[in-house]
Amino acid sequence: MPASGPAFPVLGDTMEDAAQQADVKLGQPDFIQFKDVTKKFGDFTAVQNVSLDIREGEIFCLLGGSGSGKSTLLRMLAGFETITDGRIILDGEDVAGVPPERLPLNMMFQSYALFPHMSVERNVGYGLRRDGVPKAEIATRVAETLELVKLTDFAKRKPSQLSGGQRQRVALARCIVKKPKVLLLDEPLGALDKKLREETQQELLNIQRTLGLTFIIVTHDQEEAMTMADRIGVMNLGQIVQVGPPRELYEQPNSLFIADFVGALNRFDGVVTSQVGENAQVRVQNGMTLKILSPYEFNEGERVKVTARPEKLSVFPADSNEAPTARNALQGQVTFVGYMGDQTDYRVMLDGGVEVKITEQNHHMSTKIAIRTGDKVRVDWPARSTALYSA
Amino acid sequence: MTALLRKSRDRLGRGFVLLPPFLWMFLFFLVPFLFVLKISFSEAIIASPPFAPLFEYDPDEGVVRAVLRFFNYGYLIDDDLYLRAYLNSLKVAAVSTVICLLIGYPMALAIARSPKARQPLLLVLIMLPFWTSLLIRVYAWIGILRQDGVVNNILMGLGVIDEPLVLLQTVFATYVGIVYAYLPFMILPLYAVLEKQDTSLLEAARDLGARPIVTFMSVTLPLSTTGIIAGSMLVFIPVVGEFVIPALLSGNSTLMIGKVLWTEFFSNRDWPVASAVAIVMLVVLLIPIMIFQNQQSKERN
Ligand SMILES: Nc1ncnc2c1ncn2[C@@H]1O[C@H](COP(=O)(O)OP(=O)(O)OP(=O)(O)O)[C@@H](O)[C@H]1O
Ligand SMILES: [Mg+2]
Repeated sequence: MPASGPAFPVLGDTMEDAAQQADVKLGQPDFIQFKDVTKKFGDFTAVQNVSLDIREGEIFCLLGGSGSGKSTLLRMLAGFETITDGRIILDGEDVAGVPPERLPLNMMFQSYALFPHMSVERNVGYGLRRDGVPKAEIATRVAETLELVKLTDFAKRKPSQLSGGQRQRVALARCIVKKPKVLLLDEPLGALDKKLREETQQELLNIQRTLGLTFIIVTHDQEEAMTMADRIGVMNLGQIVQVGPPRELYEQPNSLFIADFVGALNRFDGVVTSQVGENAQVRVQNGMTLKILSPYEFNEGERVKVTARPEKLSVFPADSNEAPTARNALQGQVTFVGYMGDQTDYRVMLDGGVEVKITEQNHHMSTKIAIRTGDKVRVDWPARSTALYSA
Repeated sequence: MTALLRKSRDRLGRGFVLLPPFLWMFLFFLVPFLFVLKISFSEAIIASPPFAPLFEYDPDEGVVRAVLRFFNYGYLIDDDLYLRAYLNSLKVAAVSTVICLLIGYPMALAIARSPKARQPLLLVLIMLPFWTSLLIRVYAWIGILRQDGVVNNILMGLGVIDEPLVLLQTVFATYVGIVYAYLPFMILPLYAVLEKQDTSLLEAARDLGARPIVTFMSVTLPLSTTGIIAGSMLVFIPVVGEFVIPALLSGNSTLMIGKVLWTEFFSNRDWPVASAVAIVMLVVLLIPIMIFQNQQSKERN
């Protein structure tokens, strides 16, 4: 392993089954192809050399921070932006030069973009009228779709007379009534509150399954991406950094960036002191030594970054039994206890002077607080739940 | 108790804000209007001012007697000159409004859709003519349209025509002048609504299968009705009473009420008839204004 190259963390055991489960319902694997796609606005490169295949029938999430180029990528696919370089193939056809109205996909806009001068009914029927669908058929299809999104009672209202969640559903209905092959959703739930967002995520999933659509969802909410996506593509600075099922991204991030972006993380800076087979030892701040299982070889003395997710760590009172030798066991003092109901978040200042985050599931009903702020504790985690990256 | 106080204080505050515009309207619209109304019920006499007083003090009976004379209005009905002038003014105003709309809409749309940084410049270009007096600009049109003017010289130079065309003192010249002068009043309100339009609506329409022209007809156009109405009012209402442009460019080709008013006032020195003409014009114009108001309040609901 060269010192500069990325090191890969251990392989998880059940990593592939998410992808396999997903495979069952998926069709054509290269239904949508981005081939080395670049988009420049003047001198500014908004999307850079993106190559990506999206399967028919899958839910693909584009995840990334603000300004990372997610919307731009989507808008090129929808025909709203010209492609500076590269090609986008949709169901075997190059989308370049095809006007948006002729592409067999529909887009749900971040702002919903409902026509303010039309009733809900007319908004939903708009696309069908454009396609010259007979009047009677429009009426039945609009009614069916409104039923599906539970808006039948609101058919005659104007968008200004609806709540945020209802508007979102009108926007959705307006797209799916056309039965497109692909639905692009740009931050579809961004404007909704947490509870409504979770409900709507389920509704979207149900609708996607019922209609067998291909969904491409843009979001900057990693939890949302995790819940909904079959696969996630993480974008940063106009590039796709990693593509994979949520579990793979979480457990096998290919870079520190992804590890940090997807989920919370404890980080240590350290130096490899020894490695025998997969068993590596890393000296981190203030002389603490961590045991790490890494399939990749590091040189002795190499600078590395060590990461461990909070939920892989456990806290025990300091005087409890010793941990098995395959585990890391570090002493420390609790600085924060956050009771969340389903779980408890701890922060522990290790004796080595590094603070770590720990998340414990509250498996048992108990009103007794076992560990309090200020307690001496032992923090404990398996060597295989720790990942190593070249610094 | 305190709530009541606060309420009355709020009302006082609101009254304070509304006072200046009300005062303005009272002084500069209502008072002159009442004067004109008063004169319209009077009779022309050779005196200064040239109309009979409305209120006469009768020293014998010791009372003030008001004499309202309606014959000025009767006169407007008797002589069909006035009716023709009214109708023709309305027609000229309506046609000019439609022409302004047809020319102004694409211009307003083009400005609204041009890059944000360039819009102020384009707007300044639209308003630039206002920096010169209307009178001078209309005179310039005389130079352009007359027998040996710019248009005829160019057309003859190109060999398109052998004889100079009679352009001045025609209906054509009237429309050219009016459309030219009032176009900015159409463009500015249209620009204001078009510029505010959410471009994602247009993209949504395209995405749902509408060609650009269909997108325009089904989204852009219906969402700009307030601008169309405002612009049309701003053109239509002043054009009905327009005097300067027809006086300079139309000759006898176009009969307009503004010119009739002028003649009554200054040539015939018949202030009462002139006032009656003005009052009737105001009433005629109130109808479209009320339609406009109605439309606006409906829009708000
Ligand atoms: N029309 C444009 N002209 C110039 N720059 C643009 C244009 N559209 C987008 N950009 C730039 O391209 C970059 C990517 O924009 P994009 O809208 O794709 O980001 P995003 O990932 O969707 O972000 P967000 O999560 O905030 O919506 C941004 O830096 C943005 O400023
Ligand atoms: Mg975006």
